Amino acid sequence: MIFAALLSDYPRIGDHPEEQVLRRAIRLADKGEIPPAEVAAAEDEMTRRAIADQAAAGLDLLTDGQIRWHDPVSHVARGLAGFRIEGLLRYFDTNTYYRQPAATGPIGREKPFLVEAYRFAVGAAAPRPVKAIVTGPLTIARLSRDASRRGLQDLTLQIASALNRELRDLEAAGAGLIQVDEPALARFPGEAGILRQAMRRLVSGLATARVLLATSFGDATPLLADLALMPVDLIGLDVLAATGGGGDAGALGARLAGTMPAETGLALGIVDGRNTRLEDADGTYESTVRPILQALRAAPGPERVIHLVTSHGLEFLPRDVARAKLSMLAAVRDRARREFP
Amino acid sequence: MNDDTGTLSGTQARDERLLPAGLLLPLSTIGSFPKPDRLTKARAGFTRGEISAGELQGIEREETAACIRMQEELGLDLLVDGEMYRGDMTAYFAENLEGFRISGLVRSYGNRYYRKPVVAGPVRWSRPVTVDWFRFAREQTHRPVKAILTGPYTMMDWSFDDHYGSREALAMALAEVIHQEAAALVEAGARYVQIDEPAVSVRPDEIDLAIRAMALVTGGLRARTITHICYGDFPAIYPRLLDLPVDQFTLELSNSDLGLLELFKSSPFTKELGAGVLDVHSHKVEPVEVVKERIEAALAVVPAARLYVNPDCGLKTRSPEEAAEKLRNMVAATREVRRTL
Repeated sequence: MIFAALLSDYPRIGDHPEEQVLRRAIRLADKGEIPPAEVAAAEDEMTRRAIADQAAAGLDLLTDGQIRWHDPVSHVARGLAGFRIEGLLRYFDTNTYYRQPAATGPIGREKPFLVEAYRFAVGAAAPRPVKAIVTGPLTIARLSRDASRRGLQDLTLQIASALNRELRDLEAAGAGLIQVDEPALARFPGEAGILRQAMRRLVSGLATARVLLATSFGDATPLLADLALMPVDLIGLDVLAATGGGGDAGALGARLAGTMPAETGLALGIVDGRNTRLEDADGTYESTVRPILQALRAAPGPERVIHLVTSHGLEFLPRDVARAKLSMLAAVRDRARREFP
Repeated sequence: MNDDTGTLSGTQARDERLLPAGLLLPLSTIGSFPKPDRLTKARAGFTRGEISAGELQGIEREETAACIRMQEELGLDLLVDGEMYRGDMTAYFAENLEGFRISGLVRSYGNRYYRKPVVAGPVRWSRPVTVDWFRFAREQTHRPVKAILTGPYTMMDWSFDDHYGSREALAMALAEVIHQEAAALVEAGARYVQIDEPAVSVRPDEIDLAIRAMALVTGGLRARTITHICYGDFPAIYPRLLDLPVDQFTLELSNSDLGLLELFKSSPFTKELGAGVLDVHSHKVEPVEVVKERIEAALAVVPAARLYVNPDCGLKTRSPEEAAEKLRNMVAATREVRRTL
């Protein structure tokens, strides 16, 4: 089956005044002119809009747009015990910033911090399904300050154990698909072994939820052999980074067919989430998607689940461009379904 | 580039002010100052069509003059125009160069959003962008004024590219354009030109491109050249960073708890250092003692003859009162340290 989905986040603002309620609410709350509850109401409103944009584009599997997240790192660290949130640092090679967590004490998780937002998104998206998203343990550990010098491996594993409780709670709340974002992996390929250990802890005890390990911010295909060993149901790859936009997608498809277990699904990042240039749906389909699907279908075994996704979240784009990219993604999906029914 | 002892071929009438010979620890800033409320309101009013461009410019001129007066009263040595007429550091130049259009709102971090430029055609310089403001600022004071431009690598990295399709081609095209602007400023008498490259610390793998682009900008400029870089992975680009063809680096030291100075002990910092001794992202006004300690820590790494003193970054995120109080302590601390030299 072939699905279309946004990878993760979505603009929390637009050019119309009614799309700027969140910015306004935060500004007024900072000045003490409105209570924090009104910021939460504005987050609800912008979450509904993010979901509405995805539904209007015809996507199959929605996200809440991560509207409530300050950034991908501190939002998760704030939900865990043992972190103190510190100064601003650049987030990978973007011109956005994240607040760096410092791992100061034993890492734990006292109460769920993503479940309520997940439930809200499910209500707003119904009847379309929502994927839950959590930033993964390697990325949190890598982008945090290891204040008590426990080392990357220990810190990553402790975070994985703490997050495991959150994943179980998300599953209990009905999450059928949980995406674990690991943007750090492509940057730090030497840490794939640590991630594999951490993933085992992270998914331990899950019964019904499927898990998608999503890479981004670079080409993770040099790590296919490691990714094939991850205890997850789907692997997400930035296909644009892997093929340089114009590389041999058929060869990539053959490598995927050859290395990834037959039952492992793939989330293929085929729409550039970081630049405004709008790709042509047919061009992308013919140069990139069709050759990969042909190679995968040519291999023996059951039909793989394929998610066609954006190469990154779309938060880096203006809202009108983000909408156009989602529509283009849905158009690629439609062609793929016609040719690979 | 040129040193201060070099002879200039210009006429006697040219106003080419320098810092007083022998002045130790010259005090300066990174460029932007907080916009007073009346200016923020005027800019919003102009956007809504309620006031004319002429009226807005009148207010910008008044506030520029007030900003210069404040810098003089505080006791700064190398002044800036305060950038009252600029919004975002990339968008301002994009709006005034050929080849750009401006996109919808994109989040920068926290509750800050900006309109990210889109390169839609060949970038070209058709007329001076900042020269009139440089002249205006200089008329308000007898002290030297530093001209501030945004560098080609940062302009490239912080814009969407719908036209060039190559980061290198766009960066080099922008370098030619920014060189023309810098040359126009030097022609108008600027002897200190700062070319901001905050994006350089973000993609260590592209440091060579940033160096080549900067060489095009500063090549043949008869002025002291400075660059400002902040928030990034300095260990990955140091000491290669020192090959950027400029005379001085203004760097954020305080936000990172002086961590950069430790790095400079690993390999000598061979150029002038504009030491960032105020954390511009904190509301807290650092006491004189704290600022003194930061200056003294910088002196342990770079000799006084090559040390300038400035805040970490532009002050536009602070309130006018906070900015003034922070700078007052910076001046007091610097004067105390000077007495010990």
